[in-house]
Amino acid sequence: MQPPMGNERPPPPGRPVSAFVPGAAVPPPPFAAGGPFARPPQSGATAPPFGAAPPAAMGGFRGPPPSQGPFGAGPPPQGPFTTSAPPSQGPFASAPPSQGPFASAPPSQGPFATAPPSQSPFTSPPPSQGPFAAGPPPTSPFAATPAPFRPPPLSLAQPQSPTGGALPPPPTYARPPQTQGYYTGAPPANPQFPMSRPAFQQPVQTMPPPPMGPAATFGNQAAYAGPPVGGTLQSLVEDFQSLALSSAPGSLDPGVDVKGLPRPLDGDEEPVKLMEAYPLNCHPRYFRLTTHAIPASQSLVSRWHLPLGAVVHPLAESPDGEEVPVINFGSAGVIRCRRCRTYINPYATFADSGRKWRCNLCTLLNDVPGEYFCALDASGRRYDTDQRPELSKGTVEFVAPTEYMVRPPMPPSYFFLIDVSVSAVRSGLLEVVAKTIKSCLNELPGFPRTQIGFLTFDSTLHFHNFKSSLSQPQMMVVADLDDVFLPLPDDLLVNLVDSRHVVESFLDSLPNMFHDNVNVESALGPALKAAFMVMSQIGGKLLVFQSTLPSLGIGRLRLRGDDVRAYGTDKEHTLRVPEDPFYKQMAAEFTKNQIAVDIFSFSEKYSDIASLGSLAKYTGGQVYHYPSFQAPTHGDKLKLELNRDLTRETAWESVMRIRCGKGVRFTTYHGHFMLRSTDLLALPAVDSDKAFAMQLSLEETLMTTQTVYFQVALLYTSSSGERRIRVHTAAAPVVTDLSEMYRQADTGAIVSLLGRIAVENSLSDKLDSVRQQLQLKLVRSLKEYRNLYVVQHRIGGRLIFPESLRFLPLYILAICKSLALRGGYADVSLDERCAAGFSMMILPVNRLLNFIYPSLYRVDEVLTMEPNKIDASLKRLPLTFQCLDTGGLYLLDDGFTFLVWLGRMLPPELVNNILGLTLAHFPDLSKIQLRECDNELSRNFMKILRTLREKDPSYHQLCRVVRQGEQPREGYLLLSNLVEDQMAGTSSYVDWILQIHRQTQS
Amino acid sequence: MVKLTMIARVTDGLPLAEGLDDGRDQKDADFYKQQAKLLFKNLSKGHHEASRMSIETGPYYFHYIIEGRVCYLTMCDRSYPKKLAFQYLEDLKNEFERVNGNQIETAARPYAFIKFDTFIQKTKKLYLDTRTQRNLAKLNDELYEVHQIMTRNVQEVLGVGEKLDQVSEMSSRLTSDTRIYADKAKDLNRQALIRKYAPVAIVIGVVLMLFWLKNKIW
Repeated sequence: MQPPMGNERPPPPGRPVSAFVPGAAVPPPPFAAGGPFARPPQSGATAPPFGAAPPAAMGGFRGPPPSQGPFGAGPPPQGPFTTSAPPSQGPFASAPPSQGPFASAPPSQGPFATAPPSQSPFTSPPPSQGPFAAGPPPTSPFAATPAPFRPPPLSLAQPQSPTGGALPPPPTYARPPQTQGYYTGAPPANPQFPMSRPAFQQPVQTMPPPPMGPAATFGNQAAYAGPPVGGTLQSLVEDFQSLALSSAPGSLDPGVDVKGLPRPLDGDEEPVKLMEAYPLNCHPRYFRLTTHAIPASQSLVSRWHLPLGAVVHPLAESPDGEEVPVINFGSAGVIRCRRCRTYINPYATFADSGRKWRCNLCTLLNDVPGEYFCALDASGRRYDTDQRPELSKGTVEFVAPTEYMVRPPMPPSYFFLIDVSVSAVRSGLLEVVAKTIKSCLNELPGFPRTQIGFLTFDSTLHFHNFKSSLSQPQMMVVADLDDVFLPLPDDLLVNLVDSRHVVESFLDSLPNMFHDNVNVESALGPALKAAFMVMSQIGGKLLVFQSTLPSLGIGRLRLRGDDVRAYGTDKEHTLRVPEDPFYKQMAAEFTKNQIAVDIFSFSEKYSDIASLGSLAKYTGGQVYHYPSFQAPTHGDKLKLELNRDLTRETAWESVMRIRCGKGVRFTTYHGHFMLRSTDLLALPAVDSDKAFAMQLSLEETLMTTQTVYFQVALLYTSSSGERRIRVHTAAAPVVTDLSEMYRQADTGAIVSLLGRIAVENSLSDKLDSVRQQLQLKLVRSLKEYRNLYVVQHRIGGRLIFPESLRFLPLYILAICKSLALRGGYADVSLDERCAAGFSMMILPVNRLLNFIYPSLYRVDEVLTMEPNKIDASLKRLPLTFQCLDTGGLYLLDDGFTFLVWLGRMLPPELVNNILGLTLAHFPDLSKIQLRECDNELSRNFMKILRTLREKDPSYHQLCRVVRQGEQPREGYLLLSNLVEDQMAGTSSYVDWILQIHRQTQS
Repeated sequence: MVKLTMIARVTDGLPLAEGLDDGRDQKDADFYKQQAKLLFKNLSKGHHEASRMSIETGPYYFHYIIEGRVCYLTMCDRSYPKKLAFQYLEDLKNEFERVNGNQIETAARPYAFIKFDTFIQKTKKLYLDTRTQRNLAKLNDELYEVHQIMTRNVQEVLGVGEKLDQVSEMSSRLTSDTRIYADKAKDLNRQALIRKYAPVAIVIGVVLMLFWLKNKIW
C-alpha cells in the first residue's frame, strides 16, 4: 500500500496541515480514533474523514500546505460530496488539481463540464454523449443536458476508481458494435478506451476497472501527478461509495443513472484477500463469515442488521495442486483439547519448551503427547511446524482412530426406489434411469464393496432378488401395503461386484418389464418403509424416482397446490410445509440409520414437493425437480445429473460440528441435515455440492479477546472405507467499530445466509412479508451505515453504502424475485417454488449468486470468432430487457437452465445454422433440442455451452430456446429472470434503489 | 451359526476387518462386539494366551485363533460345532494372509482391510448350514483336531485385568472415603459441642436479656 501512510492510527503525516484549512468547517473530533475510521492494521491505510479532507489529501506533502485545501477549499457549506451547489458542485470539482481523473478541472468547474484545457476524459470523442460529457461548459452537471440518455442529475460519487463503476459507460455508448444502448459491463469496456483516446487522457486509461483495489489507481496517478497524494485519500475513498439520487429540480426524472448502478457482473468475489492477512486460515471456499470482523459487544451486534454468521462448504472441490493433506497421528491419537475438544491447528501455541500446547479456542493448557513432542525455537515456534501440515495449514484431514467409529466403515450403498406407474412409463423415464444407472455401474464409488438394490412400486411393491448365483433377477410382489414385510431376508441389497450380471440384466429389462403398465397409483409411503427395512443395517443413499402424487398407503398426499384462495392469507405458508408428519418421521428414522434420501420428481401435475422434499431436507439429501419430464427433452439433464449424483465423491455416515472461541456461539443452522444435539449436524451423506449456513450470536455482552477462532470438523467415512476428520480452522478479529464490520463484510456469504433465512421464513409466513423482512434488513443496515457518515460528510442527498456491500441491494432484490420467493400464486407453480427453495438451501455461495442473478451473455457476436478466443470474449450483461438487442442472440445461464433468446431481427441463417433447422418450419420451440451441426457457428455455440457447463458440473443446464415475443414462454422463461426490470408487482432496480434510499433517509 | 467375525492385530488391538451385516437380527450384538473388543485389548496387553481358544459367553461361544500376530475371532451359537468354527477361521486366515499378509504390520488406521469383508460374507454363507454335504464332510474329517482347545469363561478372561482394576479402584475409593470420614467426624464433634452447651447458652442469654429489659424499663 502507500508507504507514507502508516498502518495504525497515528496522526497522518499531513495532519499538521489541518491547522491551515481555510474553511475548517469540520472540527477536529472526526480525527479521534475510535470513530468509524479506526482501521485494523491490515487495511494498510488511515482513513481520515472527508470533512477534514485537506490534511488527508495532502498526505504526502511535507511542505507548507497550499493555501486552499483541495477538499475543504470550497465555500464552507459544501462538503466535497454535496451535489447541489453550482459553483463548485461536483464531487470531483473540489479535488486537488493534481489528483484523479477529474482533477484537472479547475476548482470552479463542474466535474463534467467541458472546460477546454482541462479535458476531463469524458469529454473527448465526438460521440461521447455520455451523460457526463456533453453539457455546454457553463452548465452545471445537474441541469438537464441534452445527453441522449438521462439528463445527468445524478453525479455518481463512487470515489474509488471513478472511471470504473460509473463512468466508463459513456464511451461505450458511442461504440458502434454495442449499440444496444446499454453498457456492457465496465471492466471489459475499459481496455478499449486507449485506442480511441487522445494521448493527454492517458491518465484515465490507467484507471482500473471497479473491482480492482484502489491502491493501483492511486499509484498510477502518483506517477504523473507529482506529489504522492497517496494513502489518505485512497483510504478515505475506500470508506464508502455513494450514489446521488436527488432529482434535478423541476424534473420528474428520478435522477438515477441506470448504468452507474453497481452490478455483480464478475459473479462471486471470494474474499481471498483475507488469506493474505490470515495465511493460516482455511481457504474461503470452505468457510466464509458474513463479515470477517466479530463485533465486540452486544450493542454492536444489534446495530449490525444483517445476519451474523457463516457459510460452510466442508467438501468444496479444491483445485489441482491444493489437495487437502491427510495426517495420521498413529499411536498418539488425534491431538485435541481436553476441555473443548478442539483439534490441533495452526493457531495453537506451544509453551513450556514444547511440552504443553494452549488451545486457541478455550485457552486451556494441554499436554503434548510424547510421540508428538518437538522442541521450540527462540520465538516459541516448533521446529517441525513446516513439516506438519496441521500446524501450518488451515485445512487438513486426520485419519480417525477406532474411538471415532461406532461401527466399522460401511460400504457405500445405493438403493433405488423407482415409481413405475403409467406416467413414469409414458414419459420414458424408466428407460433413461435404467440406462444411466447401468452406465454408472463402473464408476460407483467404493469398488469392490459397493452395494446396490432396487425396488419398484406402483400400487404394489416389487422386490427384486439379485442373488449372485441367479442368472436373472427374481421379482417378488408384495401387495399388502398396511403391513409391509420383506419377502427375502437378504439379497435385496447386494454386492455390486458379485451380482453385477444380475443387476445389469435387471436394468436391461426394466423398461420393458413395465412397458404395458397402466397402473396410476403410487404407494410411495409403504415403499419407503420397505426400503428402510432393506437399508437400515448399512445405511447409504436412497434415490427416489417419483412421477406422481403418492396416492396409496401411509403417507398418501392430497392435491392441495391449486388452492388459490390460500394465497395472500395467513394459511398461505401451509402449502409450503409438509402436509403429513409421516415424511418427517420417516426422515428422522432414515437419518438415525445413516440413510440419505435424494428425491427425483418428474410429475407434470402437482406432486407435493413440499412434503417429499422434507425427506431430503432432514437426511442431507437433495431435491431434483423435472416438471413435465419428457425423455427426449429432459433426458440429457436427468442423465447427467443422476450420473453426477451417483459418481461424485461422497462422504458417508458423517457428523459435522463447528466450534468457536469463547464468547460466541452458533445458534441456528440452515441447510439439509438433522440436528442431533444442539450443535451437531448429522449428515448421512454429504458431498461437494452441498453447503451449510449458520448464524452466530454473542454469549457475552462484551468480548475480551482480540481474535475469535472457528473450527469446522466433519467426521466422515470415505467411499473407500476410511474414517476421516476434515478440519477447517479460521480466525477473525474482534472489532469495536461498526464501520470495520461493514468494511469486512462479505456480500456472497450474506446473500447466501439471507436467502436461506428467507426460504425458511417462507415456510412459516407469507411470501409478501418474507420479502418485506428482507427489504427491512437491507434498509436498516444501510441506514445504520448512513448514520456513520452522513453527518461528517454532509452527503444528505445520497445513498451511501460500503464498498463491500455495493451489490447487496441488487442481490436482495434478486432473492425477492427468485423462483422460490417471487410473486404470488400464479407466478410460479407451487412445486417449482418448493424445489427452488430446497435448492437454495444447499447451494454453495457462488452457485447461489448465479442462480438468483443469472449470467446473461450476448453470443451472436462471438460465434464467428476463433474458437479459442470465445471464452475470453463472453461478457456478462446486466439483467435487463434494455440489454437485449433485437438483432442479437443471447444466452441466459442460471446454473440449472440455459435459455437461448433469439432476437426478432436475428439473421435467419444464423438461427438455422445453430438450431440445425429452419425456424419457420418449426413453430414449437419448446420441443427443440440443440445438437451440434456441421458448421462453424454451431460448433462454436455448442462449445460455449460446454465450457459453461464444465464450470459447474453439479447440475446440467437444460437448454431451452425462445424467440423474442413468443408469449407466454418468453415471459416466464426469460422476462421473469431479468431481475432488474419491473415485473408485475415488483420494482425495477432503479425503483428499488430509490425506494431503499427513501427509507434509509426517513 | 456364525454371528460375528472380527479380525484384529494382536500387538495393539487395532481392528483390521469385520464381517459386515453381522448382528442383523441380534439386539445384543453391540454388547458382544464390545466384549470382543475388550478381549482384543486384553490380548494386546500381552496376557499370554493359547493361540487357539474358545471362550463361552452367555448363550454363545467366542472362538479365536492367533496366527502371525493377527487374531481371527468369531462368535457362534453354543450348539454350533467347534470344528466347523475353527475351520471357518482357518479359511479366513489363509485368505487374509494371502491377500494382505505383507501389509499387516504397516497398517496404521483402523479397519485398513475392510475390503476383506466381502470375503468374510461369502465364506460365512458357506458355513451357515451345518448340514450341507460340504460341512458334514468337514465335521467327519479327523485331520483337524479341536479337542484339546481350551474353553474358558469370558468373565475369567476379562476378569484378569478387571480384578486389578477393581483393586486400584477400591484403594482409591478408600482414600476418598477416609477423607469423607474425617470430615464427618469433625462435623459430629462440633454438633456434639453445640448440643452440650447450647441450652445453657440460651438460658443465660434469656436471663441477660431480661436483666437488660428490666434495666431499660425502669
